[in-house]
Amino acid sequence: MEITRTEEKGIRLTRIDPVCAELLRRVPASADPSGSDAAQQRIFSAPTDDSGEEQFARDWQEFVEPELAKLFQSALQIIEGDLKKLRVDAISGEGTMSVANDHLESWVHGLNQARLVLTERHKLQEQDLERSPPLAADPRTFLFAQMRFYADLQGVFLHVLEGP
Amino acid sequence: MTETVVEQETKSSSAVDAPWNVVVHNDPVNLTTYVTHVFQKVFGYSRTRAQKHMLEVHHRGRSIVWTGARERAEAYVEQLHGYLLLATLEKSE
Repeated sequence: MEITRTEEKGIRLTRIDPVCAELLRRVPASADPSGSDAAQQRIFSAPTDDSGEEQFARDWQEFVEPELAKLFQSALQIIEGDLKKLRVDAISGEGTMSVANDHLESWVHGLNQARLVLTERHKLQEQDLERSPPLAADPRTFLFAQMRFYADLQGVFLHVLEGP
Repeated sequence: MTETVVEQETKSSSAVDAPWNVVVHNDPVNLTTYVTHVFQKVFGYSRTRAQKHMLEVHHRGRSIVWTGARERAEAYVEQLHGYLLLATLEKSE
């Protein structure tokens, strides 16, 4: 896959092979914490460790978390919109897509959320994240590749966001 | 009677005005570059200051990234949660 910064418009991803295309398409679903209590708790973490702040924590759950959920959902919707424009060449099988400058923050967020949810859902440990390259015999090899791909892409998008 | 009311108000006011810390906790998943980026975005810190806090989180497990009034501290914690950082509010000692 090649990533090119385009003047003013954002970035362009070209020569996206079928595996990378599939990993890109999986970002929104991977970022969904539904069905995993651990992932839910990580995405909506407690705002205080103080046991004397129970009311604050309750108010947070009631008023703040729904707003955060909307914020997270809007980022994933932007990603889904960009993914609908992913075009695959019928002959080469390689894909092309663009990400506008004002969508980069959403992608950085979505990729981060996906990595956090995958980590909790699959109970990955810190040493799992640092293992490079992953053991070929490990049944989670594809998962590690997914995590690495998302981290690399997030790093590139962050680099573009921050400019020279 | 009037004096008691004034005293209570003063006490309540000082409790709210007492400084509060915004603490960010370590998370092995968040990229160091991402954490630095978030500190710059949320607090307007220079890259150097943001990196200092990021490194403190990374090596010590936590960093007090801001201290001040409760209401503003809550708003910062909310923003940091919006970026999926592990952030909490705690009374400053």
